[in-house]
Amino acid sequence: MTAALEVRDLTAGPGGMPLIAGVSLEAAAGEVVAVLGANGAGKSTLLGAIMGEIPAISGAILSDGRDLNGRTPRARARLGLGYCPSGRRVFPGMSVADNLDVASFAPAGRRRRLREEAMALFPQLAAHSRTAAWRLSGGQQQMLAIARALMAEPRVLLLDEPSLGLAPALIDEVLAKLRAVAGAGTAVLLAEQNIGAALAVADRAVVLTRGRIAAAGDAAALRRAADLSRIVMGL
Amino acid sequence: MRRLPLLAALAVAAAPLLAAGGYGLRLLTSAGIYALLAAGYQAIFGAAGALSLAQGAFFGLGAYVTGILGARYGLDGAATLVLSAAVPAALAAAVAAPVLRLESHYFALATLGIAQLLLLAAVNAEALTGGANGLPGVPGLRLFGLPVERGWPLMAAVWAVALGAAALVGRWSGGARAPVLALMREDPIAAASLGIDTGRLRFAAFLLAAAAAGLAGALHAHFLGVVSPEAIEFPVMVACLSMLVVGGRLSVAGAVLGALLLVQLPEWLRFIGPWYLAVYGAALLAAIVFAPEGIAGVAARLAHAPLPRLPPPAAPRAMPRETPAGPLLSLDGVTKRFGGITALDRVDLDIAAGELVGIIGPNGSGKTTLVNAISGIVAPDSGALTFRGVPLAGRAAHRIARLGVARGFQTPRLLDDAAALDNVALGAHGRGDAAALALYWLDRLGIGGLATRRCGDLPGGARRRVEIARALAVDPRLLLLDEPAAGLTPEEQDDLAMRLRLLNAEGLTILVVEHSVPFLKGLARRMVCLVEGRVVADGAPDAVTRDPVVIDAYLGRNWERRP
Amino acid sequence: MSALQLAADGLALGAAYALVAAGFVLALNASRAVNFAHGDTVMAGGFLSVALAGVLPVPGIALLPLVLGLMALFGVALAAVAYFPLRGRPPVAVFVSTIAAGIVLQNAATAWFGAAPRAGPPLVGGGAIELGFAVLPRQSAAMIAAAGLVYLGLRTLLTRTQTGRRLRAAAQDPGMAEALGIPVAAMTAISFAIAAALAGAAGLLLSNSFFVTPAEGGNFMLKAYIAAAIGGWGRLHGAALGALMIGVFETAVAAAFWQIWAEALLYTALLLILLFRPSGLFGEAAGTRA
Repeated sequence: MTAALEVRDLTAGPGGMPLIAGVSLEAAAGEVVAVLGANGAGKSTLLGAIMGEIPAISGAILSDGRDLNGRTPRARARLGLGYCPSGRRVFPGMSVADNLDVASFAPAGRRRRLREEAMALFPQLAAHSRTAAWRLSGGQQQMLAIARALMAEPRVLLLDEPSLGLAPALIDEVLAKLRAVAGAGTAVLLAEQNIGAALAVADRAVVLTRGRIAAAGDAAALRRAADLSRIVMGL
Repeated sequence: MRRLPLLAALAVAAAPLLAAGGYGLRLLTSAGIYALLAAGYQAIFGAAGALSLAQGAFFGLGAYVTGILGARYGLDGAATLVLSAAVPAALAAAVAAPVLRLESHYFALATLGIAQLLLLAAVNAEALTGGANGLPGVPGLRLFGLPVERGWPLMAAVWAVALGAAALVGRWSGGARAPVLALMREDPIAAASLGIDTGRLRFAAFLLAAAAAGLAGALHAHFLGVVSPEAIEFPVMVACLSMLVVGGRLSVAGAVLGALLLVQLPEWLRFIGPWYLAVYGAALLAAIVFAPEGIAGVAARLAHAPLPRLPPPAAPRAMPRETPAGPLLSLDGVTKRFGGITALDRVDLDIAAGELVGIIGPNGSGKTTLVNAISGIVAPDSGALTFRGVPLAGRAAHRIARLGVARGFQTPRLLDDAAALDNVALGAHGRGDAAALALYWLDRLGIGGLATRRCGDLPGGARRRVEIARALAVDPRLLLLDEPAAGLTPEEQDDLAMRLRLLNAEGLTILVVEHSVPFLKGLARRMVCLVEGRVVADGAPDAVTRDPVVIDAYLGRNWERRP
Repeated sequence: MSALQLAADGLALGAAYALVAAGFVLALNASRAVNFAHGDTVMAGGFLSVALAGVLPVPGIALLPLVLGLMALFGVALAAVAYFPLRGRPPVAVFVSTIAAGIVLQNAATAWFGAAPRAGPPLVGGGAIELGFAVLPRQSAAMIAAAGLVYLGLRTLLTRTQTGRRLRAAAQDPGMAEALGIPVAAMTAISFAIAAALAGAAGLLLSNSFFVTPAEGGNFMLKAYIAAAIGGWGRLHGAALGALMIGVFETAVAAAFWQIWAEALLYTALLLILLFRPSGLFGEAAGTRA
């Protein structure tokens, strides 16, 4: 069965500068794959390249077997890639409900159902349905960003450092929801600096150092690796 | 030879006017007046890059000064010309401070507001200005008692003034100042980081423009013999703007060319009848869309720039590296908040002269804010910043640069269209041997061979080095680098680290903010770790990278306690 | 002139200005560029009404849907010519291109209709409405009602339709909107279309009481600009409110003193605001938390 997302030997970076090189990974439907590494290791570049925001220099990106090369971010979104970039980027002047609705291309009836499902997954959003997004706390905004990405019923969900700026308890809560998302059939690719929290919810993980894959494997096995912290800090 | 296409264009534009007898002479005089107006405008709109919409109003103001003094009081040309230039310049100076600080869309609006007020005054202060009908009976131009006759003498006088003003503007904005202005237009923050006082440059440009406009207005009044609100209404502004857009706004020659061409446009388009002004507008639209650099810009492209002869590189005079009693840089309880986020939280940090310190920390820990606070791009909310004993709080970025603080940015901010040498020379702007110094620093960074290459064509690693060389050309006491290793290959990183070590050994104090711990480990003798704006570790690299608090921050809290 | 009449006239003028300002800010937020031809678009709407009235002998109010539709198409054409080719260029390029477009409009109108003021169709029959204690001119009432209706329509579009949500999202964060699959360029074009439709509607509403002159565009442009600055750059409702205030202020001062004092005070107020509260009287758009 073709993986929901497949990256083959990808080299990418802005302006011809390769910030990641030779990266390969796969994510199947229903899996959570963590992409770990210190800052500057290339996590955001990898996700940005998959989404088409950052140009690929060589290699291939496939979604359900379809080559995404040359497609704009908008086209990739319509093909089933959901994106939560770092910094949340909810639409500040729009309400929670509007933020959700705007991301859906379904007809009004199904859109309403999708919105209700999103609120069921994140009850805090239901309580603030009419609140303008800029008033929400960091954690609530992160939940909104994830829910918004789910409104388009994506095959693959890309998350870039959702834990940034969140209190530890909230991090666990938010990331736990990702298991539910995966359970519904989406492939989840989670880029994270917070290794502990990420490995707690991931099935598999890869570690990036200086733009290349330094380690990969089963999440449980990596958690037990003694020198993981040294690998992640690139030492 | 280089100027041949431009001179050809000017000759072609002027020719029909010279050939056309009396009418052509009048038109040529008018062209000279507009050339003066446009040349002044080139200083503020072209060189300084600020869209002022008051130029037409300054023109009208100068016309009215001459008209009123000439028609009512019969004053001689020498005095009225000077006053007609001085009054708009004085007004410009009076409003400059608050207005020039505004962002471009507000600046345009503010100048528009000023222009509207002047128009209202002209139309309504009837006792002074003659109201809507204006003032007839403005005497012809007289200089020191001698009349300047209409026809050839007046035309020659007008053009003498116009070309003189154009030469003045050209001298002001050219030479060593040209790349400085270019950087100010494209990247004012980078310009400030090199010690360039953008406020003063824009002020000078605004005044030059206003004075030239006033002078042009005065000549216009003498030429027509009347002064009326037409001289101060918006169409004059539009004509001036169009001349610069079509002629080419990056050079004062473009202003002259634009004036020569556009003054003839009504003649050429006369056959279209009442639609000719609409065609004029369409031509302006086409110009800004398809040829934004104007004809002079195109001519400059056609001319082949000669390969610059490189001067021999010259090392900077070795400044005695003073050893101050206290630390070189001192931060004391520095705090900075952005909305709800505390980017810097009571940071205490002392850097001694000659140190090489690495600042590490996870995303959002405040590293870049730290560099921005030291270099003056953001002002701390509380706490003290001292450099060489001088408090930095509240100082503008360009003043801090002049104290001896130079920096690089996360993404190199260079002039893509200029050569590497020119970019680096900007760091040494104002110094006679800037080019020689620039070449020296390019050599020190290992890219001397790329000196004449266009920066936009260089790969990322080279651009990074050009920016560092530019910062070094400032001859700083403290060098701040923000993630210099980003985008460099491991080999390039090692090379850069080696060169930085060498510079540090020669006495330069360096502060490097970095994600890449490996890059810093071989380089820094001291590491400081920031987490959520607070210093959590400060010491030898080995100790810091093994500090559990630091590891926690990078890998996630309670790492050791996870199942 | 009674106080009620004065108030009605002021509100009527202000209501028309509010449509102009709303359109200006809508296009501004979508394109991040100042459209200097916006004032001339109002004038174009006015002349369109004049032309239509010559062909369709109906009350001006009946022409409103037609004017809205035709001016929307005009807005797309304007964006295609003066905005889209200049994306990626510094903002000053769009300033110049829209100034140029305005010149074309103004002079085409002069060539076609002549420079003298022309009267547009009256919105409704003349006369006044008796209110017991005072008399309300029908024209002013119609202007207020029509402008209110159009503004209500705009608000409904923006807050209750999927297109409206997409317009707002594309204006607030174009990059994120694209990454969600929203066609941002199309949304920008629609914003320009709506802006022109609003301007055209204002032109229709003003064409009878205030006549239409080819050179009037600059005046509207300046007032919309000022309203946007008062209301907080980028705030739609702030700008509309600011424009309403300008209309009332202008009418009141003109009645009490002379027209020129109204203008002079307005420009002076603008300069003071820019000096001391550049973020507008009501503050800039959407606050930022965390």
